[in-house]
Amino acid sequence: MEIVMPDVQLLALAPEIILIIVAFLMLLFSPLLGGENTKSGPKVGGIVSLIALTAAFVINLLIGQNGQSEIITFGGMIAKDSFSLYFNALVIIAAAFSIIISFDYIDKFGIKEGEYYLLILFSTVGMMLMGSSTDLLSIFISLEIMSIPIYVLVGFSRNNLRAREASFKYFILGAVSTGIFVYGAALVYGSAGSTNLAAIADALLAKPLYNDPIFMLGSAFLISGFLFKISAVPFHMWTPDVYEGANLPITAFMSVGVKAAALSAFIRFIVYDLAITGDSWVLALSLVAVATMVLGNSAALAQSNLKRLFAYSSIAHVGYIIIALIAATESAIASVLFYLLIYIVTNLGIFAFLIYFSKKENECESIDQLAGLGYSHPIMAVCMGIFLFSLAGIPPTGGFMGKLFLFIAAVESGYVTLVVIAVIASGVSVYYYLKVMMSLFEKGKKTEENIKNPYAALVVFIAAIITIYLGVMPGFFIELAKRCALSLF
Amino acid sequence: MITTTHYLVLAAIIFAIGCFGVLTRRNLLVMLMSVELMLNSANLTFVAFAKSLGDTSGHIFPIFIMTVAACEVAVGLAIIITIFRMSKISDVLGLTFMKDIKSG
Repeated sequence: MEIVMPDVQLLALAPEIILIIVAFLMLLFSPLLGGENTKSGPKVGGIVSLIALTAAFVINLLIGQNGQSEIITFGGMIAKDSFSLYFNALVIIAAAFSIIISFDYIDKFGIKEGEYYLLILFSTVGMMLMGSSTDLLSIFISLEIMSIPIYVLVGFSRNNLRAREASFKYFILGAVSTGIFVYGAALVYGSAGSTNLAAIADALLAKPLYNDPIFMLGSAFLISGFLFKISAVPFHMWTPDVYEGANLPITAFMSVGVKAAALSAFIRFIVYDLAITGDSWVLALSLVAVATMVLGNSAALAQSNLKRLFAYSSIAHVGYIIIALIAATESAIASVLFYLLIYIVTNLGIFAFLIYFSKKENECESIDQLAGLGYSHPIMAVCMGIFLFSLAGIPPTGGFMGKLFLFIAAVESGYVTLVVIAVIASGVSVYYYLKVMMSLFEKGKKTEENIKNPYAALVVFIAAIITIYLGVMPGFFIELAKRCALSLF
Repeated sequence: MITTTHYLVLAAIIFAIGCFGVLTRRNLLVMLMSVELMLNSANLTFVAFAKSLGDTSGHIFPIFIMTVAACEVAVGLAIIITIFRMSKISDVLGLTFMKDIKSG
C-alpha cells in the first residue's frame, strides 16, 4: 500500500506555530520564572506572550497581504482564507487585551503561577485553528484545544469555591456538548461519507441527503454542540454561573474569544453545508434566536451582580447574531463579522472597567459597588457609558452600526418578524444597561479613592476610542468584513 | 449475522445511557464516566460506518476522540480532586455556591 503524504504548508500556520512554541517554552521555563517566591515571574510570562501575540498578529496580516486568496492545506483540513484570517485577528486581539488587563489583577489576587498566561496562549491557538478548520475532525480537535485550557483557567483562583464550582459546571457540560458534537459528526459521516465540509456539500448536492433521518439527526447534534459553545438558549444554563465564578480577565477572554471562535466554525458549517439543505433548519434556529433574545434580555433585568448581568447580555447578543446566521447571505455574514468586532471591543472594555475598580481580593461585581463612581472618576464613567450605549445600540457608538447592518441584512432576506422581535428585545435591554449607568451617577454616594491600574485604564481608553470610531466611521471595517465574508462563498 | 445496523443501534443505546447517566447521577466521578460512555458511542458509530463505507478516515477520527477523551479526563479528575480537597463534596447537589437571583 502506497502512503501518500498530504501537502503541508507550514507557513500558512505560522501564527499558530509561533504561539505554540512560545507556550511550550513558557511551560518549560515558568517553574524557574514564576515560582511561589518570585515576585515578577508571572509578569515576564505576560510580556513574553504579548510579544508572541504581536508577532502572530503581524504574520497573520502578512499572510493576508500575500495576495493568495486561499491556502488549503493539511489534506483539506485547514483553509487560510480571508475569513479565517479575520477571525484569527479577532481572537489575537481578544487574547492580547485579556493579558494586558491581567497584569495588575493577578498581583491583587495573588496569582503566582506562570501557567496562567500560557493557558491563555494554548486556548488562543485552539480558537485560531477553529476559524481555519474545514473538516469536522479539525473542528473537533481545535474545539478541545480551545476548551480544555479554559476549563482550567475558570477554576484558576485558589481557595475560591465559586471558581471550583464554575470550573466543574463548565467542564461537565462542555464534555457533554463535545460528546453530542462527535456523535453528530459520526452520524453525518455515516450519511455523507466524509467528514470534510466541502465533501459533505458535494454529497448533499449529489443526492437530497436532508431527507435522510441520519443526516438530520447528525446535523442537529452538530448544531447543538455549536449552540452550546456560543451559549444560545436552550444551551445557555452554564453561562451566568461560569462568568460569575471565573476571574474577571478570564471572563472577559471567554465572553469574547470562545464565542467568536465557535461562531467562526458554526458559520463555516452553515454556509458550506446547511445552506444547501433548504429550509429544513431555519425554523429550529429561528426558535432558538427568539428564545435566546427574549430570555437573555428578560433574565438580565433582575440581576444585581454585574458579571451575571453581562453574561445574560452576552446571551442576548448571540440571539441577534443567530438571526443573521439564519439569513446566511453574503451581506448577513459580513454584518456578523462586523458585529463581532464591535462586540469584542465593547465587552473587553466593560470587563477592563470592572477590573479597574476591583480592590485587593475583592472583585467589583455588584452593582452597588459602582454607586457614585461617576463623580470621582468621570473619565472612566464616560468610557463605561460609551460601552453601555454600544451594547444597547444607541448612536453614535459602534453597537448601533453593528445592529443596523445586522438587521438590514436580515430584512433583505425576508426575516422581518425576527427583526421586529430583536428590536423590541434590544429596547428592553436599554433598561438594564441604563440601570448600571444610573448607579454610576448615584447622588450622595461620592467615594474618593485613589486607584492605580494603568493597564486596565489603557484598555478602557483604547476600547472606548475604537467603539466610537466604529460608530462614526465604520466604512473601512465594513468593507473588510464584506471582503472576508466573500471568501466563504 | 451481525450487520452495521446492530453496531449503530448498540452505539445509540450506549449514547443514551451516557446521556441519562450525566443527567441523573449525582456523584461527580460517575458523571465523568457517563460522559466517557457518550464519547465511546461516537467511536463505535465511526468505526461501524467506516467499515460499511470502506473508508479509512472514519478509523482515524476515533483515535483523536480517544486522545482528547484522555486529556479531558485528566483535567476533569483534577478539577474534581481540588473540589473534594477544599470542601469534601463529591455530590453535584452540594455545588451551590452561586445563586441566580438573590431573593429576599
